[in-house]
Amino acid sequence: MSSSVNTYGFINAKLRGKIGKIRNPRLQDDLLKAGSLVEAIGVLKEYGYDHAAEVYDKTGDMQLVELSLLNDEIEDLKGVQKYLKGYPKELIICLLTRIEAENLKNSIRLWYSSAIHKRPISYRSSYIIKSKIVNDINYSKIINAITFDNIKEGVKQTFYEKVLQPFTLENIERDGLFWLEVAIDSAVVDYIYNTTIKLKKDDYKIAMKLFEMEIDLKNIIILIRYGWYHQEESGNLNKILYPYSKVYKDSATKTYINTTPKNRNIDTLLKGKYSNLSSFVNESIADNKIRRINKIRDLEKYLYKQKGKLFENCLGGKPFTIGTALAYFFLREQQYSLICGILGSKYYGADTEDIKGLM
Amino acid sequence: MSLFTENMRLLTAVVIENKSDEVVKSLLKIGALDFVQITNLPPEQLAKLSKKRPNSDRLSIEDTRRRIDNLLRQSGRPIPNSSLLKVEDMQYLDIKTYRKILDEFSSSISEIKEQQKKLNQDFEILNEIKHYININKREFIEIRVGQINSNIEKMKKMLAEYSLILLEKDDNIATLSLKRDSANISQVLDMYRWEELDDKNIQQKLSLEVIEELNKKLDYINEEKDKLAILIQEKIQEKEPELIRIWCNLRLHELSDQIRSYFKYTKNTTLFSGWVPDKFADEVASAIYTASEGQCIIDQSEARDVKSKNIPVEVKTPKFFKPFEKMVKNYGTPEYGTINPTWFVAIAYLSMFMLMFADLGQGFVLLLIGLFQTYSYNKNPMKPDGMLNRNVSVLLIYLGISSMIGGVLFGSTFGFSIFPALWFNYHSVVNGTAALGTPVQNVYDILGIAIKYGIAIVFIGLIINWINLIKKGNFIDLVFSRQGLSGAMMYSVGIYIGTSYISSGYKSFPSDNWIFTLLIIGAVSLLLKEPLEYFKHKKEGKNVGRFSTMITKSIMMWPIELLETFTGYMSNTLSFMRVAGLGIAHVSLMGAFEVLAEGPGMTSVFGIIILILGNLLVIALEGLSAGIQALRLNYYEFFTKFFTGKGIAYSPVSLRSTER
Repeated sequence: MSSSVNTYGFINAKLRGKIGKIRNPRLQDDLLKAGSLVEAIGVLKEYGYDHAAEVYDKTGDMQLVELSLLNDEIEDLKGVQKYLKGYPKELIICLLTRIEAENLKNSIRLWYSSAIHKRPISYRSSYIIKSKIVNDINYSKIINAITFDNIKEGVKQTFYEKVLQPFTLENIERDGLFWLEVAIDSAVVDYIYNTTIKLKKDDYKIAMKLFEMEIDLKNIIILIRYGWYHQEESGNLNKILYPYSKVYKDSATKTYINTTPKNRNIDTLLKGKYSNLSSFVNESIADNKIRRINKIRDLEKYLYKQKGKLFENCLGGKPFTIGTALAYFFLREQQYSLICGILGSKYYGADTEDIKGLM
Repeated sequence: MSLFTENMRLLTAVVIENKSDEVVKSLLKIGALDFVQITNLPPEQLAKLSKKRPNSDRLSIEDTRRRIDNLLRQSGRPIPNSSLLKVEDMQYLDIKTYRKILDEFSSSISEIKEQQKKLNQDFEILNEIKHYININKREFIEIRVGQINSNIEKMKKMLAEYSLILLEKDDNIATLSLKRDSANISQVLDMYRWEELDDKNIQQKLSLEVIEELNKKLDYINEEKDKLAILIQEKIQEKEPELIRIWCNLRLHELSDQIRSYFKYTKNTTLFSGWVPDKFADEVASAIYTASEGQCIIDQSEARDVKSKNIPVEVKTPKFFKPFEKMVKNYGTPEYGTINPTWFVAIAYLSMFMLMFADLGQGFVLLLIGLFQTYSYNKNPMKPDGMLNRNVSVLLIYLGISSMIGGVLFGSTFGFSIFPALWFNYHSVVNGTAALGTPVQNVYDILGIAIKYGIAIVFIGLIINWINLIKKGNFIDLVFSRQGLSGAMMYSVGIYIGTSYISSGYKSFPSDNWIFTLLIIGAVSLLLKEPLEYFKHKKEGKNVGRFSTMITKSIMMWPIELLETFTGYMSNTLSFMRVAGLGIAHVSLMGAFEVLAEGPGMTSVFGIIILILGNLLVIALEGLSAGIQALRLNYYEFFTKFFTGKGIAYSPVSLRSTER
């Protein structure tokens, strides 16, 4: 039986070195100060993102730069799982599956736009990763699908085959992709949960804490976004929620869901459990749509920060656990969002101060 | 090269305010003054001084300069450096105009990039079709051949948003598109009363031609993309001189502002102060005098007359020793007025490497790698540092030579004893086949040499420490500290005990009376150090705390100090066994490859391949290992004897100051 030092000694040391690079605070500052997208790409070159910069040199297309950054991230994470065995490896694969699920959703969205809304996909198929991430998905088949059955064929013998099974062209034409995407997300979350519970004690504690935190945050966002802003019926709201962790099991949540959508009060939902969020809810929010959206955005930012803190704690905790790899995943994802966010803002000519505000 | 750090002088000047700009330029040109903030003045005088606001914010100058860096880097052009800076070229700083120039240039590049993006998107559309043809996924594509009875141009416009190639031949039209767009395309074609052609021959012919058309279009797009790439390069080339000129001006202003940040002002005068090496002091003073047209007062003080512990340290090292100077700086900066250890590190490092990696052939390979890398860096000064950076490349040359000398001393060439060893044959000794009567017979003798070598290194470290302590006037540490004479005496007694024990065949320790006496004197001396320092500091009027606290501390610390003296010196000395260890491992590994190469069933070709691979492996692994171990021995066993690393590096504001 291998000890935790054997399992994590090498890979965690390697990851800590990489984390040191990722956390370079100057990158964000330098990207923000760049006068244009062209200059921002120059900054990326300075910080070793040569591959992404090369893509920009060749294509001038920022979305392809983003794709290249995502590809690099995937390759990096694939490298991590190669050093692990058993359930820790499986958990990393779960996280890669989460990225893959997003890619799959994007390709189905393209199909939907082309087949249902009759908008040609055109060059947009080049923004999809077509190589294998975890499962052998036939992306060409999905993008070029004429019927929904073609899409099912594209995911045949993969993790997603069962997930897509209940859906038909008719219900997608009627309800859109929303429920299909919810099903994919739920399947990935279930996969992560089922793998997490199989981990050894120390790994389990850390991974489950992170998992529960993330699920709680996602559920809070769902409850507010869909339950309060979109005023979804209780039956639908229950279907969207992830059936794990504190928020889901809380009686206040159940009361909130079962209240008539118009009378739902997020104050009662959050007070007590997430008292830090009271600043977001203590102000009665009138029917002003923009204020509501801004409130939700602020709340999401706050929750994301909380999530970040928890991952930071992982790095200060026990050194030979899955915590370092999970924190690395999070930081890598955060870095990717940061770079893409700034590059996007630069492309649209946003002012540095405005970008800072948005971040 | 001076054995000690360079002598420094504190230069303080008061110049007429309206000449301060000229003075700044002169100081920047010479680049020898390491400025200090003027604070050591009575508060009432300090209150009369003011700081001037710089003409522009240094941060915004730096940001603008870095924008140029990013633009040039993005275009694959070299980033300007300090070698281009000339104080004479300094011009009025107009950040607003510079930013405007950069914005305009950036936006002109962005416009081309936008065209490039559109072209690339067109390319992606057609490339997807070509990809499916290439991988024979015909089910995703559709070729139609037919005729229409109305205006084709209008139809083309309507089809423009789809991934499609349209070919007109005589009265026939062929379309190549993706099947996923089929329904939409059909709708358009039907609008124009499309009639499908039944003629199989024409269908086949036009099908091939439309695919050919696709390839032509892709080639065309690629050509257009190349043209745009050239256009970008031309634009950058055209703009590069201006960008470099702006960069230089920004950098010069950045440095000038840095100098001005140390200036203090009265109504009509400017006051500043800084450290300068002795040899530059007069040149700096004369430059200030000339720049201010004699309207100045300059005061120079010798470092020994200044009550400051923060005297910057300048270490002068010839170019030959630069890699070793880096090793020293990596560890820390020597204290002012102490010995510059670079010399000793160079000798110690090279000799350690030689003993651990002694081979004429392998050393020659290292030498060649070092020469090749250095040549390649010299030939292409803009080449970024790789794994073997500039410094390591030069170091490899020295290491190669020292390894070759080792090879001659120990008679080893690529692991073979081709010529007689000048000192002793390492391979014979390790393999137990050393000739009788030779000075070194077995591995124990090699270990003995390593230990003696270690003792020599430790003593050199101690002697350097004593010289430093004498120079600093710290006689208490010189006599009573672990690295002082008391510690050295105990270490010498320890060496005597050890050698006597070995000489007796590991049977008995020496019983001379003086051994005990000397050890007692050494131990008591260590105990006396704290009280002596207490009284010295008290006499100097320093805050020394309570006497009883000092006594308790001394008594508590004494056993620890004694223990550290014994274990420290013993481990420092024994640590040098790694020199022998690595040398033996090197010979053994080569021996193992030799046996493998001569093993049963081995043809001469395979044997040679094994020997080549073995040598490469040994050069890579053993070479790296010996290099790291030699560095470790220098840092932990040698430097700890004398090097405090408490010095402050001399860092004048000059044109060569490193920029972010």
